[in-house]
Amino acid sequence: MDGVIAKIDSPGLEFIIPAVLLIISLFPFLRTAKRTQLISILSTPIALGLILGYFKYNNDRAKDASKDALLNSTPAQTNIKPPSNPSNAYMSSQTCRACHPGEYDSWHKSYHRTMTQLAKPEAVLAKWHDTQLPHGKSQLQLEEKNNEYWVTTVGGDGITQDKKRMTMTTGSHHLQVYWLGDKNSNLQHPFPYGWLIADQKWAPVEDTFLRDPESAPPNAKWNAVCIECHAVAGKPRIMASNKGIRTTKTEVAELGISCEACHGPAQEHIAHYQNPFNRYKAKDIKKVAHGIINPDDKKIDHKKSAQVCGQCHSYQFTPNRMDRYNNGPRFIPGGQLNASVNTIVVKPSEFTNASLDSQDDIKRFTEKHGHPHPGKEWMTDRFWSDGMVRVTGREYNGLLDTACFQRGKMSCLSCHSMHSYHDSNDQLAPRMDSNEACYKCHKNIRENLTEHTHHKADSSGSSCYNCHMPHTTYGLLNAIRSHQIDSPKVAVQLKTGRVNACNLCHINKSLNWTNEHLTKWYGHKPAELNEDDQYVSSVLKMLLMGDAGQRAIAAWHMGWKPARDISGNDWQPNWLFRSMNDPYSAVRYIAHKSLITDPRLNKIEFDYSGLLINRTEEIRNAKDVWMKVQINQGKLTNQPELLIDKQGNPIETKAKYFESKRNNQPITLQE
Amino acid sequence: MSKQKPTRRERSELQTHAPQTKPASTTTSSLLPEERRHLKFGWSSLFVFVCLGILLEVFLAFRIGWYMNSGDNETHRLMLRLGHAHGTFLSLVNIAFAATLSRINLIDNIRRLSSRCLIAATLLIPGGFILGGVVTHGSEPGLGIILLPIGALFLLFALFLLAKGMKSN
Repeated sequence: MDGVIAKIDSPGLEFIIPAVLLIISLFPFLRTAKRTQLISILSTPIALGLILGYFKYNNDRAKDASKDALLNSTPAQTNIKPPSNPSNAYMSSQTCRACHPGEYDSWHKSYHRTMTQLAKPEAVLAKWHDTQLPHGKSQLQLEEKNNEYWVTTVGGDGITQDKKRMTMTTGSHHLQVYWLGDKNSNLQHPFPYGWLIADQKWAPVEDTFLRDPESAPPNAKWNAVCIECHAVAGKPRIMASNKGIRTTKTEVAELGISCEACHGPAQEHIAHYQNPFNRYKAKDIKKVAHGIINPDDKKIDHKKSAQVCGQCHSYQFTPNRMDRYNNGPRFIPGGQLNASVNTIVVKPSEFTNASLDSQDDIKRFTEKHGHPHPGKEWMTDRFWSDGMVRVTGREYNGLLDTACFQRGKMSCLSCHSMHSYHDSNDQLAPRMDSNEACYKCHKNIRENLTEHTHHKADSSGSSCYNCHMPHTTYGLLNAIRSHQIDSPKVAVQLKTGRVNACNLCHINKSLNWTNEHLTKWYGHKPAELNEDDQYVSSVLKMLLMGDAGQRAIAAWHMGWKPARDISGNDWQPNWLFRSMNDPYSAVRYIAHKSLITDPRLNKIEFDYSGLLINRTEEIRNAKDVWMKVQINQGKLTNQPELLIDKQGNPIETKAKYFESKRNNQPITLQE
Repeated sequence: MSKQKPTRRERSELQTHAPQTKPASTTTSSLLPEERRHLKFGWSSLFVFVCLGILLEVFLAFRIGWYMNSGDNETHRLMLRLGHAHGTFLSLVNIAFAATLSRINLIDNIRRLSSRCLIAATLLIPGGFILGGVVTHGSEPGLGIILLPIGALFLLFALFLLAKGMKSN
C-alpha cells in the first residue's frame, strides 16, 4: 500500500488525477448547453481550480522543501532495532496513537514529549523574531520567517559572519534551550542562550546551571550528551574521518521521550495485535501485554518497574562507550538495567573515596561499586558525602537507597503516574500529593499522625513529604524534593552539610534547637555541636558558609512559603541581598526569586546574569525599597539567631566571620 | 425549450386510468430522465462510498499502517473519513433529489442544470477530500483538495436553483 501511495505522491499525478476528475464532473454540461452558457458555467470552476491549484502547489512545495531541510539537518527518526533484541523495532508514538488515543493524549500533554522537538512554531516558546542578543564582540540576530527560525551572527564591524537555522528545542517546562543545525551533518550545536519560561526572558545557557563561574562555558553537542535521555534509543554515531573532520549520522527512534522509551520497542506488539482476533483474545486485562511491558502492571516486579524510569533518572557509568555510541542503549524496558554491557547505574551508598592505583584495583572497584573511582570532584558535583544524590533528574539513585524500595514494594509508580496524573508538573497520581502516598503502607500513621509528628495534623509539619523528602536536591534553578526517603538527623547534617528537614522549615532556628527537639521527641542521641551551631540559624549559616549548592538550597528555602509562614518574613531580605551578588549565577537567580516572594518587594527587578556593576546598582535600589518598608513598619528588633541587630541590619562582623569560613571549592552540579 | 412534460398529478391520473398490464415497466418509463439518472447515479455512488467505508473499516480492523499511522497529524485519516462521509451523504441527496423531483414542478432548464450541478458536486466534494487525503503535505491536504471548493460551489448553485425553482413554482 505504501508503495502505491508513493507512486501517486508525485507532483504530476497529484495534479493529473484531480484535473481528470474535474473534467469528468464537467462533462455532462457539455452535452446540451449552448456555447455562451457553457463558457459561463465552465469558466468559473476551471479558473478557480487553476488559481487555487497554482497557489496551493507553490505553497506546498515551499513547505515541503523547508520540512525536508529541517529533517535532513536533524537526527534521523527511523525504525531502529535495539541491539539487545534485533528482531524487534521501534515504531514511533504515531503508531501507538492509532489504538491508544487516551494514553497518547496524556503523554502528549506531558513534558516528557516536549523534551526534544523539531523547531516548529508550536514548539518554540521564546520570543524569537526581531531579537538581538550580545555574544562576545558579536551580536546574534534572531529571525523567524515562514515558520523557520534563523540566527545571524554579526561581527563587531557589522559584517555578517554566519547564518544558521535553529533546528531543535530542548525542554518546555522551566527552561527551553535551542540547537543549531550543522551544514555538513545532523550534528546539533548549542545556541548560547536559553529561554526562562516563567520569567519570559533570555539568559545565557551557562547561567542557567549551577556551575563554577571560572570553568569554560558548556558546549555539549546534543548528539553526544542529550541524546541519551532526550530521545528514544538514540545512536550518536559521531565519527571522525581520516581527515579529522567530524561526521555525524545520528539516528533516533523518536525525538523526545515517547511511548517506547518506557514500554519497549513495539513492532512485535503491533504485528500481534493487528489481528483483530488477537485483540479479542486480549480483552482480559489481567493478561500481560504481548511484546511490550507496562511498568505499572502489578505483575511486574517493582524493581524492574523502577528501572524503566531509572534508565534516565540515574547517574550511570558507561563501560563500553563506543558500543553505546554506535548501537545506542542496550537496556530495553523489562530487562535488567545493570545487566547492560553499556549501562551501569552508579550505586552512591557504596561509593568511597579510597584511592585506586592499578588497573586491577579499578576493575575490582567497578565490579563492586558499578563505577571506576572518579575522584572527589565527580562525587561532590553529584552526591552528598553520604552518597545521597544532590542533583535533580537522578531520582532512581535516591530510590535505590530507600528502605521502602529495598524492603518494601515501592517504585516510582507508587506515587507518579504517566497517564493518570492530575498535574503535569510532577505527574503525581491523584491524591499522591498528600500523606495518602505514605498511608498506603504506613496505615498506623494515619491514626496517630500528631503523635508521630508532634505538629498539628493540618500543618505543614505533619506532611510526610516535608520531613522525609525535604528539598535537598538542586536542579533547574530550584530546590527539589529528595527522592531518597529518610528522617531528619542532626548527626547526618554535621557529617554531610545537608541541612535537616526540621531546619529547612524552621529556617530561623539553630541546629541546637533541632537537636533538643529530636532528642525529646524521638529519642535521638544528642549530637555534639560547636558554638556557632548552638546559636545561629542553621539555614543562614549554610547560606553564608556552604558550598554553592548548599547556598542555593538555603536561599530557596528563604522564599519557601511554609518556611516563611513559620519563621517570619522580615529578616530574609537583608541576607538575600547579599546572595544576589553571589559569584554563582544560579544562587543569585534563586536569591532574587526568594526575595520577590515577599509581596512588599515583588516589583524589584534584577538581571541576575548582568554585569557586576549593574547588579550592584540594582541591589542598592532594592535595599532602599526594603529600608522604607522597615521604617514604615517600625518594629525593628534584635534577632541574634539571625545575626540581625536592633536596627534590623545584618551584623557585618558575624557575617564576614561565617563568609571567611565558606566552602569555596569550585562546584558544577551535573543536572 | 423542449415539450412540457406531464406533471406528477397528470401522470398519476394517467396511471390510474391506464390498463394494469405491466405495472413495473410503466412506472420506469414514466420517470423523468433526471429521476432515472439520479436514481442510478445515487445508488451507484452510494455503493462506491459504502465500499470505501468498509475498506476504511478493514484498514481500522487490521491496523493497516498506511491508514492508521497518520504521521504528525490527523489530516490523512480525517480527509479519507470526510470523503467517505460526504460521498455517502451526497449519494443519499441524489436519491432524495430523484425521489422528490416529480413533486416539484421545475422548468426544464433549472431541473437539468441543478441535476448536473448536483452530480458534479457529488463527484468533486468527496473526490477532493479523498485525493487531498491520499497525498498530504505535513498537516496540509494534497493538491486534490482544490476540487472541494469547486464542488461546494456546484452544490450551492444546485441548491440555489432548486430553492429558486421551488419559490417560482
